[in-house]
Amino acid sequence: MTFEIRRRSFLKGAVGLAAFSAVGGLASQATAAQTPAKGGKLTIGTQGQAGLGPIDPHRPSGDLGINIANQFNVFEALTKQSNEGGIEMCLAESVTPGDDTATVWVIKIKKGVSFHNGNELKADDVIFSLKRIREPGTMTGGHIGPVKSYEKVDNHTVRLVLEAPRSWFPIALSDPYSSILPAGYDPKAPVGTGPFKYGAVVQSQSVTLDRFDKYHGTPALLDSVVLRPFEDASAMLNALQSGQIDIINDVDASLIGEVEGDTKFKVYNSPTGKFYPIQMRTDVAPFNDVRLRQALRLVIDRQAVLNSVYNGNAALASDLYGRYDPDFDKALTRERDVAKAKSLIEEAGLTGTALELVMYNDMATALVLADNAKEIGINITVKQLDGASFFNEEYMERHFFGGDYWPSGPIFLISSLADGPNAGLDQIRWRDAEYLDLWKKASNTLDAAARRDITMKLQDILFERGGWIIPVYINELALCKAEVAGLPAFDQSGAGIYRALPGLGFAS
Amino acid sequence: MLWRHVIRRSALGVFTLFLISLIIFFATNVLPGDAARAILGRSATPEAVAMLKSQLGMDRPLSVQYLAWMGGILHLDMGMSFISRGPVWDIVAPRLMNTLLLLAATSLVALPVSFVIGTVMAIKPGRLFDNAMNGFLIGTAGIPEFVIAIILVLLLSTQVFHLLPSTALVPPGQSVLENPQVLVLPVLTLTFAVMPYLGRLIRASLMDALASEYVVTARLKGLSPRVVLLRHAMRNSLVPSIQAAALTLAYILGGAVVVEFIFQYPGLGSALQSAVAQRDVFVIQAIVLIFAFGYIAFNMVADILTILMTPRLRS
Repeated sequence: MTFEIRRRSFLKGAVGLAAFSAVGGLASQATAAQTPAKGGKLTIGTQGQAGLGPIDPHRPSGDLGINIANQFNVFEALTKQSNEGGIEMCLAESVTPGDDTATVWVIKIKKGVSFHNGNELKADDVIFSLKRIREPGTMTGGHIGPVKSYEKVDNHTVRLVLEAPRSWFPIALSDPYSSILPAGYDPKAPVGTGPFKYGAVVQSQSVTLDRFDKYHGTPALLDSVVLRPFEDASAMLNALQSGQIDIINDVDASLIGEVEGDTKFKVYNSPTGKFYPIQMRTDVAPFNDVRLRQALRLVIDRQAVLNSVYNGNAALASDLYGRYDPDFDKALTRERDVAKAKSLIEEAGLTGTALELVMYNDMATALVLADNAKEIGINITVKQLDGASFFNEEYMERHFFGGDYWPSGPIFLISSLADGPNAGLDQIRWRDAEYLDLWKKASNTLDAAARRDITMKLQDILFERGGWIIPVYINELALCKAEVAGLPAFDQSGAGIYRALPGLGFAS
Repeated sequence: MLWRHVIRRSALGVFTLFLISLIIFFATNVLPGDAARAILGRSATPEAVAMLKSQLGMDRPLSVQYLAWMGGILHLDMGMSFISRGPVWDIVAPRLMNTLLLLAATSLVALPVSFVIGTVMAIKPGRLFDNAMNGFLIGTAGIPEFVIAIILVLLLSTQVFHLLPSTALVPPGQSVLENPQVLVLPVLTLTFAVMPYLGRLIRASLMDALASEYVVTARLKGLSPRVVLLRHAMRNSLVPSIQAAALTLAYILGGAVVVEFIFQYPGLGSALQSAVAQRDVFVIQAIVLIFAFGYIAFNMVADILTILMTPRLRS
């Protein structure tokens, strides 16, 4: 037992050290030795569905052409998560409470911001966009919640009255999918305010972004960025190795070894807060028994997931989200405890229970869990589905499933979609009265320190009886040609490469 | 006689295409999940799905959707893509051109090479070239296309020599024709894939012809070996070769799926792959029907050529 613990803490240390040296080492190499020059065309390969749909920045999450644009390249939001995880202003100059109810918010819009069509960003555009974000079927309407009134105070000021308090309203505006569009936005002529504008979009083949010279911030260096969707990871790696593309984004940890030690390439490896939860519905048997949920959380070998599934390119998690939120509770850590898990299962009388776990991606994590669960007398069979099948009629109904991805983000950005009142993605049917009361209280509390205390309690509850198993936070990995310069040392968002595009270039 | 045959075969072909379209449409709809859910992904809440389905016309009964599509086809309208929300033809047309280009380039290489190899082998059977080539062809016949592709990429693109692009990434706004280098590896792969079959078939049929009594007679008449080969043996061995070539072309048209996938070649095969993943039913329909049409057409052309070259059938 002692050896076990020592081995684990040793491994943890080793992995931490490796991550540190990878990130730190790369950073010094990338930033100190190379300065990106202006100009050039950068080609990024990414794996995913090549079919591109109409450009609606508020809707589908799988569309690659929208995804790259929404990471503050073509479209920008009012506020933005910083690389470290805090909130900074983007298109807003300030977002301040209008009174002490946390329902009235005044948004001052940055002046002199130009859309790609030459029009200036004004209050009407912001109101149009916020209303559009609130339409049914969007990704991020749940962050803001119902709005009582939208008022244009002047051309650069909007006053919103919300139905329900949102003391963390600046956070609610920071989702990349809450981008600000010009009033009357037309998906056929997609314009935003970002450092890049849309160039040619070739169905199933490529999306080109061109530098926007009248950008309101620091202009981009590259002339253009070409995004290439790949269906096959090895074709993508081949294209990098034969010099056809400059970066492959979001690569699987197993590909890193393919270029390791080759000086023509470098690895971008940044810790993030993104995760793939395994979700358990808290309103149906047997998962309504908290002892089963806790037992599965206790029995999963997180270190094995980290090592074998992600080759060490991840960090241990304790079933909590919001890793880089300033109010994240780092003290809550979970050690594997098979004996305790087993006794919980026995106490609940669930020994021998058979469960079916439905997975989208991340099959390997599910297999680790299934293997571990045998030790406590739970038999899990894992079933894997493709995207179109996974998101079928049962998507909102499944009892035990995992594999869809949650981005890194502040606690309330995730909880307002997943476990807050009227959450849109409440597959776990979280109806914990104490939690929901505290949640509302937190949303009422404008005082940051007081809200932090409540947020800590919310995390305690999720830690003790939540419906998610979050074994690890996954690093963002990318492979780049050695001459690509300007990569950040660290970006918690998990979209570090996309977010870095305006500052990227080729070494001079 | 010939015309009647052509008309009958065409009618049968059209009927086959109709059956295929029916099967594809309903089979795709039996697959779990649908385009609306593939598009929405995790935002596939019941309301969002219902809204998108009505926008896409997917809320109508399957039979109504099929008949509407069929009605369009009769007006040469292939319908709308669920994913791009544009006409299917706009997606399929450039890809069809690219696949035809790949097909043409492959036939220009594979057919003559196989023909020459098969002929040389048949003229001097059992000699060094014949034995070596036979071993090589049998060896490559056993290697799946994707393995050939990987070997070629490693050899010519990424590891040993850096001569050719490993994937067919055509710069935005340009065509494959403007970037012919991207064709080389796919063409080589397909050539290696079909050469064993074609080459050995040509060798076998020419050897049969060379061993036949009319060739022996021609030789005894004192005709030069050249004349015997070209005029007597080869002409007769052409019939099975044409059949085989047609089959090969049909195979390349459909079988290019794997090769296009590996090389990210912007043809019908890779489009089909992504259409299936996203359940883009009418794009799947269009591409499968093009494959089927090609298969039927190549076979029909082969039949006609066979008839024209066989006096017995001509009359």
